[in-house]
Amino acid sequence: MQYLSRKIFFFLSLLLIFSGCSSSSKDFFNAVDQIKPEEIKKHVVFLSSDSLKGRATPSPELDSAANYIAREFSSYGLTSLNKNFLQKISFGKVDLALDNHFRIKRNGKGKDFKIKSDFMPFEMTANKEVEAPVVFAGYGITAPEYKYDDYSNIDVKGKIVFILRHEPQENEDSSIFNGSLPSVYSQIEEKVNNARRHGAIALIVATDPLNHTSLKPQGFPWPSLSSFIPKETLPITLIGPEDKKIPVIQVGEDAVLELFGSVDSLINLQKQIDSSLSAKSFELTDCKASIKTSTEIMQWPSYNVAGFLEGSDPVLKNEVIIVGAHYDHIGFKKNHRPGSDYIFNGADDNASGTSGMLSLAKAFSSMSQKPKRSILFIGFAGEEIGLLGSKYYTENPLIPLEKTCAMLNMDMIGRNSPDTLYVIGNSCCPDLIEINKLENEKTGFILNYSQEKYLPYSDQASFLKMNIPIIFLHTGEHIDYHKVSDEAPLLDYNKAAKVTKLAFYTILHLANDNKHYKIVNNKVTFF
Amino acid sequence: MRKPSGKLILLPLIALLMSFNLQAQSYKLKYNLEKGKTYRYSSELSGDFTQQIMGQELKIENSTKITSRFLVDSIDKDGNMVLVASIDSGEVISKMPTKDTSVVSLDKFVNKKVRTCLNPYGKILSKSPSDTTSEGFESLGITQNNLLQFVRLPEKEVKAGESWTITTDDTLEMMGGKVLNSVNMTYKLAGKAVFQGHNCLKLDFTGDVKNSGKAQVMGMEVYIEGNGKTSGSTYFDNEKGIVVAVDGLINNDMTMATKGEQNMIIPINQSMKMKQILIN
Repeated sequence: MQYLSRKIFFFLSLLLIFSGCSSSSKDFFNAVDQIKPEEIKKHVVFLSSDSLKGRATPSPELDSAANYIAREFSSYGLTSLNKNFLQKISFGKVDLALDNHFRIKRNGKGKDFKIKSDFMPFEMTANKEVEAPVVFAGYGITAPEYKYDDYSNIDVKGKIVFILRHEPQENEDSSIFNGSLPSVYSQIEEKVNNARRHGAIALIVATDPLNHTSLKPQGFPWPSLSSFIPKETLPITLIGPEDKKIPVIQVGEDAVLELFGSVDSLINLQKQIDSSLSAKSFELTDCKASIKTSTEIMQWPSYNVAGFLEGSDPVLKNEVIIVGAHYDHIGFKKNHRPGSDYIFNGADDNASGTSGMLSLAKAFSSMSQKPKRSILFIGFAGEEIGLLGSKYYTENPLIPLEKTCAMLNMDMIGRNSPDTLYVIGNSCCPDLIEINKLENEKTGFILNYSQEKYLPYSDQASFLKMNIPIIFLHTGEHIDYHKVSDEAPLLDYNKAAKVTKLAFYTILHLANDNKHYKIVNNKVTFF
Repeated sequence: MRKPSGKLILLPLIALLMSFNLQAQSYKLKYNLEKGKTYRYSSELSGDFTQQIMGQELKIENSTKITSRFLVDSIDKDGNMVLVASIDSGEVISKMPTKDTSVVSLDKFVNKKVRTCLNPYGKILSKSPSDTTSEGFESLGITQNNLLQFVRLPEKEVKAGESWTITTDDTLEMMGGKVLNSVNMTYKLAGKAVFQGHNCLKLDFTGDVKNSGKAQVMGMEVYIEGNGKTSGSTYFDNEKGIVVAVDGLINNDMTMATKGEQNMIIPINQSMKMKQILIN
């Protein structure tokens, strides 16, 4: 009896396991079946149609594409974390207005400097006037991984900070800052953010004189200060809130002389920093600066489109995997011959990746047993004008970045040989690459890891910059890249579906995992 | 996917090469070349470009090496010389983040000839059409002047310590547009020096370069505006009437702006060393 009951128990257990498996397998296969070449084609044909005029950021046609994606998300039953799945982004153009000044007050005497010849505001400068003591803060870098911090020995709260451009040991192959090539810390934007984080109210930048002979105040070459460069060349950029900005200017040799007495004094300071890799920051005695920069801003909104699928595990659902694809492209030719093709349809770049992302959203939504972790599907705007949509997202995340375990990006997934796929991220995110390789046993792609040079060139770069592990799927460039001939009939939809299925298996693995993935060797120069 | 255009990255190099050859066009006394003789030079231009595109700074380390020659085809009774220049070999090595180091050989331009007429003081009198020069050759900025290591000499006699200034405005055609280069060079006869066995006069130089122009790249209008400084020394063998070597620094701040499918403003700083030596 006992034996029998054991046998019955064992049989019942097996039945339960198999029925569970069967149900789970059915769920899995049903989901995979949602990823169909014809479904991807349907999306690509719409997104790359002439009616959307190349989906430039910003444009009404891009908004139409955003609404299409939002409607699809809604139809799959995804949750909106904001209004109608749309995350509003302010794009615009920033021009320099007339009223700008830079003045140094030292030992009771004031000296005014001229715009363009003595100082030049950067493009990220604030519409603001400040006056405060001046602090020298080396290169203005805080890099904990290199145990380097120019702010370690000084309080700059409420002060104006003076820093050097570039980074220590700039031309040395052995420099901890990415050898002789610049690291992320040499970027002006990074230095501005760091100064702001430390409480600075304005930033003065000078070319580092040890490695550069010209100390001209380059800043940003504003068309309003040029007689030759037209205003129309001003780029579209992200318009951030004014209260988070500070005045940022580059100064020339005259200001260096006024502040440090001689260029050699500054060179000596730079030499001391370079040789010791330690902070040599100090407040300049009896020295105040007054800075005013004025800007005029024209704004146009565009949108990231985000659909949320909540995870099934009570704890892990608080963590999220992001699946991204940019849905914008480069618009249309403003000057073209009558009758000629003038629309950059962007079928492969990146209606293909967007369509793959939509198919993934549909597939995961269809599962009765949702993955343990949550998944956030995002169509990014502004990729083609500098990864601006993903940059905005990482600076304004819908789910905290510390809860974001990984980001999978798909950009251009429908061309070239049917069996090969570039997988990018091997140099920085080996955990994700290994998982993807394992899951590829189901799809049988010949995976190629040789294209790490593409790391900075799509939205994954914005996430990697924030230390979020990434993996990027891409089927390679072709002769129609950024041409009017990148059209829907040229895509291999079977391949796009196969890439999307590999993405599905990889995301499912990540979303049912409880591990946290490492980033190694994050020395990517973001471009 | 968003990728920087290779052509946009190359453009500053072209502009610099154009400035470079003009900056080198100033010598002393008279050229005294031998008709029918071929002179060979090696030239090296190395340094880096720093460009800011979309808020991100990109540094490109670049080295260009060219071995060139010119044949003195004819000399008229006034001393005006017709020179036929070409390159024997050349390569451009570029190193930049996220890209493999690229080595571009200039072998396909070997034996492409350009013809220029100069007066005895190095002033260009005419530029013949470079009918045998491919478009690609000129798009690399290797125009007639680059291949000829001539600087402008003063027409009056100068003593040690004396200086003279040469101002030139030159319009160069590139990428479907024109770029105006204005160069203001001041030379000083600094002294004597022996260089590679030649008894030379050392001519120190400083100069200002301004350039502005408009071109077409991939259907976009490209605007270029810049100014820079150069300094260095030219070693001139006065007896043989030939430049033996040029050694100098160039620093140029330039703005490249595009209008069209993409609107961009790209500040560029170029910091380069140049070296040219007479081989034989």
